[in-house]
Amino acid sequence: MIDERSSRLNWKLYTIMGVCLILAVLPWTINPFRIRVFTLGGIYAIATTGLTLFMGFTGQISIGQAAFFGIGAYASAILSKAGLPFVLSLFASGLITALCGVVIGFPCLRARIFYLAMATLAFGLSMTIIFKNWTSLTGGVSGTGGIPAAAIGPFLFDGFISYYYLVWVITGIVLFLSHRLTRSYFGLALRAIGDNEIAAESLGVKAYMFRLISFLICSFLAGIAGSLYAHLDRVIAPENFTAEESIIFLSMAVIGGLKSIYGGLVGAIVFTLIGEQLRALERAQVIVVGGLLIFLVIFLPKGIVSFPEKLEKMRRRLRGKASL
Amino acid sequence: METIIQQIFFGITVGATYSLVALGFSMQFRAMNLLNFAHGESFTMGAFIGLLCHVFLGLPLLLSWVVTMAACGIIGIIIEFVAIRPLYKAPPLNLFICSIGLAMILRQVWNILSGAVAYKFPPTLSETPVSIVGISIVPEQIWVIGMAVLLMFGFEQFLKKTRTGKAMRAVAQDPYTASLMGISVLRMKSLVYAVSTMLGGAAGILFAPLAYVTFDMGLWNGIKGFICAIFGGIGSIPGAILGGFVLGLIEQFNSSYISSLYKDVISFSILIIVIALRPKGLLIRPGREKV
Repeated sequence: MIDERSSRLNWKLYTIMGVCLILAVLPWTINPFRIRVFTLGGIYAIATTGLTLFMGFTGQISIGQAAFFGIGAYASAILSKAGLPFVLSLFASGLITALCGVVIGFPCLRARIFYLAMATLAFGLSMTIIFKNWTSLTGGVSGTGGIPAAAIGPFLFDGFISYYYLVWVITGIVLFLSHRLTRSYFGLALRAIGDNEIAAESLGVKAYMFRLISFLICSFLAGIAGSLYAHLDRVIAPENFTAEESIIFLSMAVIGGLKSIYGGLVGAIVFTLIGEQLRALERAQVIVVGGLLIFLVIFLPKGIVSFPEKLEKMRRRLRGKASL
Repeated sequence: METIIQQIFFGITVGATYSLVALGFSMQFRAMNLLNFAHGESFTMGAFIGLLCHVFLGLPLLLSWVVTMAACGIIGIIIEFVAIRPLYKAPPLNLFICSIGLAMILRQVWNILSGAVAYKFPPTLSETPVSIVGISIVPEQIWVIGMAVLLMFGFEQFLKKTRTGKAMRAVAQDPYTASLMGISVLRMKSLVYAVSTMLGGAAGILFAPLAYVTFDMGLWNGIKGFICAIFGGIGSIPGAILGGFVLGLIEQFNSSYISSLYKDVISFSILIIVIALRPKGLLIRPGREKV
């Protein structure tokens, strides 16, 4: 028993080290355009991790993540252009987005699952229209540019490679903190609500409150991701924050696996890789991605994270047959 | 006064097509426990097949209607069999994600087939306003409203009077008991999907002359159909119909009296308020969940 547990721990450690190593070496082996794509993967992983925290643990659906992503991006763009240092603008845009999350979550979270899904979708669609038309603040359809490059103290992150490392370090920190969070009282309470809300409430867990807080964290992470996105190309436009983007975030979270905090990371990486491989297909790319979505949902309903588990099950079944 | 009546007419015209889409949503939600994100694509499907039959092949209108409805029904059955059926035992979220995948595929197929060009669908009746008792009315609107009401009425009678319709309602109410009564639940579910796709397709051809036929028309109309279904409470059929007309009117008055730029923002805000106040829809009374 103990052996099995420690070997599992080791296995996990090796996986994490392996992933870190690959991510660290990666930018030196590919061209700058691809580095940008993988940086984007890291940014998506942050936003999707937020979604996993909210959806996977409380069992709800949100289709408004791109709107929060957009709020974070615009907030960061405006603050940075006003001269705020990068770190401050990163946190400030996270907090502003979290505030928006509370304002939206306060009425919407009274509704459950599908109703909540539609409410958040409606919010997302409204935000796209507002981003497009509030020209004085957002620059309208053509968006806003001239966002200064990220800088921490004397270090300037204006190259593709340096920014890649910055993003992935932040992604790592976010994942670590989220992991700690799911192991805390808060995480357990969320899981209890997701499993059986009435039972959780009878044990003194205030379901609505916890849902609201996890929605706040979800939008905070979206805001941070948005801020990083704004500093990636230093130009943002409303078309990056549409309902379709929200659906992509949702798909990443579900494909990766909602029950594990690493699902968001896996989903984001897989989506990035697929997008890379299928670039040549041009318009047919969406069809392949859609088909893959259906395929994965049917054959790996708990997400890619559950693949080793499924493999283990199949191996056991094979071994069982062999011993017969 | 006259303009207000014209506004109401236009609102009802658009609302009628929303109602048809909302009906399909409600049916699928009740009978299949499916929140179908791809339902808006059946709307586009109807508009495109109708366009193909009526404009490109030059079939008479009635025949193109029949062909379109039949094609939508068949495509619906195929989609249900390939993508939806393997997921009945999965959690509803997976079914929802699956429908997102479907929507992505279908929309892109229309995009490629149409070459991303907007087509004009000729109006069935004339588009020039006719003055009746001092109020000018566009005959096309009467046609849309009339057809929509006819379809809804026919659909309701189908559910109430025919054996198949009764079986569908039984499956929606309690699939287990229905299966004990000798109803094939799977067949009924696939039929529900086919019928709701047909209704969505019909809404598509009806709506086509009011605007241009584009590959992404289904996204917005699907979402609006959904909002209507929620206004009335998902699963309630009178609710879906009422919701459609209410949303059509709200939109129309918004765009003429408040702001055409932000008309959708206002409809969506109303949706959020409705959801906050009555989390299960306007026509469904909120009740405590039982353990």
